[in-house]
Amino acid sequence: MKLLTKTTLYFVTVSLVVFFAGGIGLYKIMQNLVEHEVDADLYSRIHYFYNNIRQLDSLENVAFIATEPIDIEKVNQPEPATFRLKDTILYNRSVKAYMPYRQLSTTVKSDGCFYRVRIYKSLITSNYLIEKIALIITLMLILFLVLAYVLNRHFFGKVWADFFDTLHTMQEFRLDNPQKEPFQPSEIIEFNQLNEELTRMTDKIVQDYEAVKEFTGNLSHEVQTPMAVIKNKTELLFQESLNKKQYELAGSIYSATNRLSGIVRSLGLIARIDKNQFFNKTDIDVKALIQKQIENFEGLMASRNITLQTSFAGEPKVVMDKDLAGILVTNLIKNAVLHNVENGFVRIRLTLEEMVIENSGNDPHVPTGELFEQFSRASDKGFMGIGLSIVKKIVVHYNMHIQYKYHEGVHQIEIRF
Amino acid sequence: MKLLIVEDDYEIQESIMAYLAPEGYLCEQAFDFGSALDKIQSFEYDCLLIDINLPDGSGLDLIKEARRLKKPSGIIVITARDAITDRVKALEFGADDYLVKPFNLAELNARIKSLIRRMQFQGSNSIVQGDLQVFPDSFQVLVKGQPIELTKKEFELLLFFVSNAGRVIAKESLAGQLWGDDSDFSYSFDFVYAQIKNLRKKLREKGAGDYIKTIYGVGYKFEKE
Repeated sequence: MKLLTKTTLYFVTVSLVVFFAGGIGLYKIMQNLVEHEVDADLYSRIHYFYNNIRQLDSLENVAFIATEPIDIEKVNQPEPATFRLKDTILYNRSVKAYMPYRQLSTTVKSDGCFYRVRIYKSLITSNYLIEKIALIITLMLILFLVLAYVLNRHFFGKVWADFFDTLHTMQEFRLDNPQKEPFQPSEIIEFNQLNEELTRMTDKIVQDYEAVKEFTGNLSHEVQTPMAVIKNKTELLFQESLNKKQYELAGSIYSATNRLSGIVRSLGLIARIDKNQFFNKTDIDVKALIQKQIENFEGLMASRNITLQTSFAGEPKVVMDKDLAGILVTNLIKNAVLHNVENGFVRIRLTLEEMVIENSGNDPHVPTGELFEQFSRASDKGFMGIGLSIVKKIVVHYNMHIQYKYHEGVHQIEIRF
Repeated sequence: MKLLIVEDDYEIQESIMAYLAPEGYLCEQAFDFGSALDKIQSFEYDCLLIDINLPDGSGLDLIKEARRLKKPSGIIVITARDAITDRVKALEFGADDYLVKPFNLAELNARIKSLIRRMQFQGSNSIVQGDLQVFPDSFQVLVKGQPIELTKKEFELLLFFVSNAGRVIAKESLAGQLWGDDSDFSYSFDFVYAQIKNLRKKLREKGAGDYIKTIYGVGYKFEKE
C-alpha cells in the first residue's frame, strides 16, 4: 500500500465517523431547540388565554385570540389543572390534508363550568426548518470533507516530495557503479537527517565494497607466486625416491594447492568482472563456441556413456568480451558434463534469443538459486560450486537473464541473451 | 643446449633449475631486467624463458631486443593469468609460446622440449623412448615399427609422458593437458584414469612394455628404458 493511499484511507475513515456522529448530534440538538421553542410558544399562548378569560369572563369571546386552531370543550368532571403536551395530527381544510401539530391541553373553570382547552401549533414550519438546517449541515460537511481531502493530497505531495526524491535517488543507486547524485536538501529536518544517514551509510558501504574488491584482487594476484612455489617444490619432491606414505602425503599437498590455486584464480576473475576490467566487445558466435567445447568434452562424455543432443535453431551473435564468453560457455558445459550421472544425457538448445542446457543429474537438495552462490557445495564429489557463480557474474555483467531449474532428475539452465 | 631463465622469484628460479637439471641443459639465471638484457645481448641461447613481470622492466622489451638482434633463440614467456594483453603482445613481438602462472614443471619441461624440437628439426623429428617412436607433428606413434591408432587425447597424453619420461607426474598436470588451460576450476580425474587405461591397453596389445606406472596418491610415472 502506498504511503498516500494509507494516509488517505485513515483520513477518510476517521472523518466519516466524526462527521457522521457530529451530523447526527447536531441534528438532534437542532430538533430539541425547535421543539422547545414550539412548547414555549404554546405555554405563552395558554397563559395569555387564561388572562383573557379572567378579564372577559366568557369563553365565547376568546376565539379571536386564536390564530391557530383551538378546541374548547365543556367537561363535567374537573380534571387536575395540569398542562399536557403531545404530538398529534389535524385535518387542515385549506390544504385538505392531515398535518402534524403540537398540542397543549388543560382544564379551565369559567362561569362555574369546567372546560377542556386544547391549543395547537403547526409543526410544518419547524419541521421544514429542521430539514433545511440538516440539509445545509450535510452539504457543509460534504464540502468540508472534499476540501480537506483535496488539501490533504496536495499538502501530502508537497510535504513528502523531498522524501520521494530521496527514494528515487536510492533506487538509482548501484553498488557496482556508485556514481550517485547527491540528495536534494530539504526544508524538513527529519528528511535532511534521513539523507545524511543514507549518505553516511552508502559511503560506508561503497568504501567497504571497494575495499573487499581490492582485497580479493590483490589476494588473488599476490598469492599466485607463493602458491607456484609450493606447487613446483612439491613436483620436485615427487621426483625424489619417496616411499608410499610419503608419496601420498606429497600428492595431497599438491592436490590441495591446485584446488586452492583454482579457487583464488576464480575469486580473482570475479573481482575483475566486478571491477569492470573486461571491456573488450566482440561479436561472439555462440554456436562456434559451444561446438568447440563439445569437442573438448566429447571424450569425457563418452567415458561415462553420456549422450549429447544439440539443436541449433539460430546462430546468435552476442556482443561481449571474448574471454568471458569462453569462460561462460565452458563452465556451463563443464558443469553439465561433470555433475552428470553414468548413462546420462546433455541437451543443448540454441536459438537467437536463448541458450538452454539440460542434463541428467542428482537432486542438488538445495534451492537451485543458491547454486549460483559462491562456495555452495552442489556436488557429492566436493567440487566447489564456484563455476556457476562465475557464470552468474558474467550473465549479470552483460544484463542477460539466467534461470536454473531442477525437476525430477533434470537440471536446466536457461540463458536469455 | 643453452637456456636462460629470466625470473625474479628466487624459489621459482631454483625449482625450474632443479627440474630441468636431469635434461642436461646448460641453464643460466637472470633475476632482473638489467642482467637479462646484458646476457641476451652478449650470449647466444637456444631457449629464453622470460617472466613478463620483472621488478625493473618488462619482459616484453627483452623479447623485442632478442628479436631485434636476430638471436636464434626460442622464446617462452611466463605471464600472469589476467595479463591477456601481455600474452597477445608477447606473441606479436616474436615469442614462440607462453605459460600462465602458476604453471607446473612437467608442463614447462614439455613445452621447452617441444620448442627445441621444432627449432632443431623443423617437423621431421621423432622421440624414441623404449619400443616407442612418437612423431609430435604428424600425430603418429610406432610400437616396434608398427603404427598404432590413438585418439587425439591419448596421443597428447603419450607425448606428455615421453616428454617427461622418468618423472613422476601429478594427475592434476595430466588433467590440465587433457582439458586445456582453465581446467583447474574443477577436476574430474575419472576421465584421466579412463584415458590412461585405454592408452595402456592399446600399448599392451601392440606388445609394448608397460611403461606407465601408477604412483599411488600422486599420479603416474613413465619409466625410462
